[in-house]
Amino acid sequence: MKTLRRVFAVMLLIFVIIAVDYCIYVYLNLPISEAVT
Amino acid sequence: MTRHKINIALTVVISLGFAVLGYFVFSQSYLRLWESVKDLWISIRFYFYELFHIGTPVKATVTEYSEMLKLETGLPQDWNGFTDKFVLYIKELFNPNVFQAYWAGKDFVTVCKVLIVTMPLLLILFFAIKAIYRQSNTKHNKDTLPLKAYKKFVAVCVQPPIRFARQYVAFVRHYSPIWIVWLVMWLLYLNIASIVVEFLAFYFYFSSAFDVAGIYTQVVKLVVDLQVAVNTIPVVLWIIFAWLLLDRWRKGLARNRLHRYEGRNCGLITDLPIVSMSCGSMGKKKTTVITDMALSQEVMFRQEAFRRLQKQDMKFPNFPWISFEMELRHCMEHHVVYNLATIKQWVRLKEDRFNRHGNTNLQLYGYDINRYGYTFNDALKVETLWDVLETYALLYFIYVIESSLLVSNYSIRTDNVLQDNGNFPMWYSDFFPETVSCESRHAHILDFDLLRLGKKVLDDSLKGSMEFGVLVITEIGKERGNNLELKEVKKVSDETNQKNDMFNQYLKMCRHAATVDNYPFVKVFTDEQRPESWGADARDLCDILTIVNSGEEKLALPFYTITDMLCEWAFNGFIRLYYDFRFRRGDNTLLVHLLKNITAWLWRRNIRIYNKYGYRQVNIEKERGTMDGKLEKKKYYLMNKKIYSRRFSTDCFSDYFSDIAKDTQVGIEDLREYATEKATVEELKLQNSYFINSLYH
Repeated sequence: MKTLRRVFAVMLLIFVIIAVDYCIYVYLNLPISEAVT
Repeated sequence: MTRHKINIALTVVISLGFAVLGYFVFSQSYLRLWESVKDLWISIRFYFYELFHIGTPVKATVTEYSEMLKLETGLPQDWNGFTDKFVLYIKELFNPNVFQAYWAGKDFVTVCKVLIVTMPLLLILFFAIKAIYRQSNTKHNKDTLPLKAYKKFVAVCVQPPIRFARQYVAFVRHYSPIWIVWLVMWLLYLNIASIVVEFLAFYFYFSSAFDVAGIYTQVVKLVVDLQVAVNTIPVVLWIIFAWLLLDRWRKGLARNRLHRYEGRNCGLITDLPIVSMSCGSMGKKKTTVITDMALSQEVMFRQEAFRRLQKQDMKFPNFPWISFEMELRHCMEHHVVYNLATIKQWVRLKEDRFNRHGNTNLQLYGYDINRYGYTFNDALKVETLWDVLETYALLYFIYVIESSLLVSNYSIRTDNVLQDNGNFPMWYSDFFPETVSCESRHAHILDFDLLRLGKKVLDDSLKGSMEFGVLVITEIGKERGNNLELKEVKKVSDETNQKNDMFNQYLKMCRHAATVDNYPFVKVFTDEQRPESWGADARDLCDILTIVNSGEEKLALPFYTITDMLCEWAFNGFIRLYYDFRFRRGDNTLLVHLLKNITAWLWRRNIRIYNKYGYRQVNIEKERGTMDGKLEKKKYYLMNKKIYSRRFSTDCFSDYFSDIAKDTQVGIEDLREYATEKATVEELKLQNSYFINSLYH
């Protein structure tokens, strides 16, 4: 149970970091995307 | 040059540095502040003109963008632009091409290259260190050369600056004008002052214009104002700031959770009858549970007295209660009143004097009976002022008494603080404070003669002094025995015993002495391994709480799993390495010194977190003392910060055994051992066992 909770916590942390990084990336690249669309 | 002069000189230098920084880096912030002050002035004029038509019509400038600071982010300047861009953003967020481009942009190749290059180097270093540390020695407590050099370096280059920085921080905190001026300067520099002024300006504008559409403009202006702080403060500081905020937030959550569990515990305790008995085999935490319950009950009694005081106050709202309280406290200090009976006597004496002399100034502190009334009708009965004063005095005495309300046969420490500014005192009874309490009170020694209505062991000097409070008796069965054990004990005996001391009668009647305002301020918590160890006459009064098990330790602090895991890995990994090293070597080395200090820092931090926010759930089965087999499953929460802050000693009777042991001349090493795997006849006889002796006789 303890191990499962730890694995879940690590995965959640990695997911949150990637998600925040991706959201910032999309925002910063929005003008280029706008031009493309 | 003294340290004080150095501190002053440094303060001047830092202040000049800040001023120069303000001039060269943050000059725009001053101009922006001036602009926002102008916005505020115009908004105030706008507000008064719109409301009362005072002055001349003006156009509020707070709705316009700043001339000083320009928007540097891609945020649109109007609401329509924002919605368009937001829709585009959401579309792009779930665009697979953008997602692929995101991953394609990650430079994994470089990371792999770095790993490939560094791995062999790390492996070589690991094996080199292992080879060096394999050499064994017995140079006890001798530092190696690298460790000596490191200690010297720290002593000369690291510790003096740290010491100086610490004393300088203390100096700045002591002279509050210094840090206040610095704080104001930085609030100006980082545009926080402008944000506050702009908020006020918009508040005045919005309260009369109700311009909902203008809110978006203000959000954009807020982002523009925050640009200064975002651009100038390094990312590392932002991360530290965010971490501190997160830490503060989660600690608040943890404390709320512990308070909620404490509330549930109080609910369980309130449902118990006056006498209760906790049972469980050794190590099931039964004494811990009754101690925890007693601590909560003490606080609950004070809170109950306080709640009832408030209601008495409302019966005669214009009575000068403060004067009455002061006179009562004066009487308590001079030992004129010291228990509930003497308080009743004291109030009746005042009533008697009032009836004889009719002096309201002396006895009622100038209370105007004709104007504010002498009786109170609560639709059930009519109470006179003196009846209410008596109840108020009894409740106030229970509330204000600066002594533990616990009376027990083992010591319990409480740390509630009475805060008093000379008016109405308030108890600070938080079991989860942020700082460690310095106050300590201990439970009163339980003289069992207090609880004997019949024959006593000594004399009658303490008769009747146990009126209210929380009685805590551990191992009650050993004190009172059961019917089987007391078979040979006679009630008519000249000596005091369990059958003629009327202890059980006291338990049955104790609420009579402790009832104030129809509420019994007495509770008895007992524990024993088996309920049957206590005689049925007394046990039938109780609810029996059987401790089924106590769960594993949990943490109320959220988002701590990863830190907990790292601390555990660091500790387990280091300890294995460290004791292997200690087995081989007696000297001190640099690597072990560094690793030990880092691990100790992590371990100490972790243990503090567990002590502050750790708890375990105890599963309890509650049944009536008649033991009719109807069980109710209950949960009780034992919280580390509450129950393990030096509350009681788990080995409360250990001094008895120590007293015997210190007079003996032998220890475990001196006890004889069996010679082989099979005991000889002589060895069996050495056991002094009833069974073995019966075989040979």
